[in-house]
Amino acid sequence: MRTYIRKTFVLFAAFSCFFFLSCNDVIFDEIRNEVKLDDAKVFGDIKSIIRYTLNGEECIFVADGKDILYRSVAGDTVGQKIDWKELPFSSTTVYDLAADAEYLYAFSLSWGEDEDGYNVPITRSVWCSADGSNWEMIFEEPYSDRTAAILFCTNTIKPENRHAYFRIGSETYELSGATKKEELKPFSVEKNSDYICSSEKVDGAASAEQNSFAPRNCTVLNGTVYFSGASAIASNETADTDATHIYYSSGDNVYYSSDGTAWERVDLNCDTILCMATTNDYFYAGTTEGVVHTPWNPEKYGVPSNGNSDFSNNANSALSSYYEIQSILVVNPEEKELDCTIFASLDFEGSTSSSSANMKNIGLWSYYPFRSEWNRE
Amino acid sequence: MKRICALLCAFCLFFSFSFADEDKKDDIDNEEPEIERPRVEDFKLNEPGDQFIKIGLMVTFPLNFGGSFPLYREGKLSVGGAGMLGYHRFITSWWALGFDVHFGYHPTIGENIFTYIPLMLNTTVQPTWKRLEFPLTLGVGAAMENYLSRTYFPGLVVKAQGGIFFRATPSWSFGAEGEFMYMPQWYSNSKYNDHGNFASFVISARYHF
Repeated sequence: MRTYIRKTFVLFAAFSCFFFLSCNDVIFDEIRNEVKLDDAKVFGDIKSIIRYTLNGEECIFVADGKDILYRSVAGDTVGQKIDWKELPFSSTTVYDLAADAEYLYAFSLSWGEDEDGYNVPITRSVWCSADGSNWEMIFEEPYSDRTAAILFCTNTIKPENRHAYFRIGSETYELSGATKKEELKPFSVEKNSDYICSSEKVDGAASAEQNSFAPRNCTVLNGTVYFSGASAIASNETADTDATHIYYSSGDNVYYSSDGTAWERVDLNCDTILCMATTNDYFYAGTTEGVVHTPWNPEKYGVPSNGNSDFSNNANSALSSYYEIQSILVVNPEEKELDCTIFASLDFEGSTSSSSANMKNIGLWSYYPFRSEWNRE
Repeated sequence: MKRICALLCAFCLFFSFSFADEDKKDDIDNEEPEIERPRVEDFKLNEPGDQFIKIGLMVTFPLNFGGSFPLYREGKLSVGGAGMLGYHRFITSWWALGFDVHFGYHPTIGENIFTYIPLMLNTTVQPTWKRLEFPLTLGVGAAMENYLSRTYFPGLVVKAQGGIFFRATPSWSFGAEGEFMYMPQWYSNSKYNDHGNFASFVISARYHF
């Protein structure tokens, strides 16, 4: 009797595994979407992909942790795969970029050896240039890992809506060309009700009494700059239309507003969102585990749908869950997704031995309508 | 007349000794013992209850993902490999039941890896000739299939396998097999339904006990 009960239990446990542990993710169909990968030409730690009008020509810029690279996205070049050029820069490593309507800004680190002989950052500085060739330092201080320093900008498609900011510690400055930091006024932003996005600037650095936060991102709605401490913020501005909604993220939630004060939420059911972008038919989110997209809510204009949907191309295998999507830029968001030119930068956490990520995939990836696939740039 | 009868009797008596029976006791002593030679058809390589453990290494070719033999470099899946471990028991001298598990992988064209672990129940018919064994196997089971962070489990797996083994010693046999494996993937949204056809060449060793 005992043997019978034991055997029955073992059989039941074995069959239960099939039901309780079953997973039905699409595999073979996804493998068939894969493409042969090109050798990467723009690779490295790319924090952001910045729009800037260089000498009258609309371009996009990236800093790969070493140099500044750029390419034209004006006119017919938008959908073409053209070579990237290197922008001459005087400092050793360029960490991040920002731009306003007139100037391109670079946040750089200089390196040296410490007393133990290790290579460590010595100073951090912010530079600006109006023509991409001549750079002027507007800020420099000794490096400290106790004080955060962030360069960020609205990065809008319309040049008149571009504003650049630099925050060091609790002091945030709006950059204005070659004006030195000492001549700029710091400001704080206050929390907007229960949310962490606000456009209200308060003169002076944040104090303990203020209900403020440290902005990391910003965007523009109806001519007003909105700041956020969230990891990602975006708007649905296009070359033809002003933004009707702005979005910021928290975890896998996207908060949206049409006026900057009343916020609602959708859940994309993905991993932590790091960056966002829009096309005519989809809302894109780069996460800590790959990229997702969701169609617009057909009943509410400018509102993403809950959850996320499958890609018809190789986005899932190219920008896979092994990688963090640091930034994503849709060059022409007025077009439908498959007609857009899209860039995304990949990174991963941990070591290659503990992760399934491949170092060759770290850097810039692109989608061009003419080839209908994602590939290394 | 009396003399003739007496002569005939003496004659019969005399000749009777000429036709005396042989001594049976002496024949038995002189007879060579019969040696019962074993009949060749009674010897079998395997008997009911015999068991064997099989290990193997295989190179696997993805047949329906594009590309061409032998490396399938231009296909969505390239040639891969697998290791195999199995156990079988003979029910009769020519029919065995058992199970085996594979650990296989294939690189993809996008520089990712597809891995699978099928566990299969097998039925094997194995004719023999002298020291050669010809196992023919049909197997069915379930597989854990992984790709990036995606998992498909349980995935149906069906295989057909045929090969040749040489019984080098009573405990060991070595051989090669060819295998065909069918791995379907079915979903509630039928547009994602797909299947994988894989052909393998296997080098195996079997331990018999």
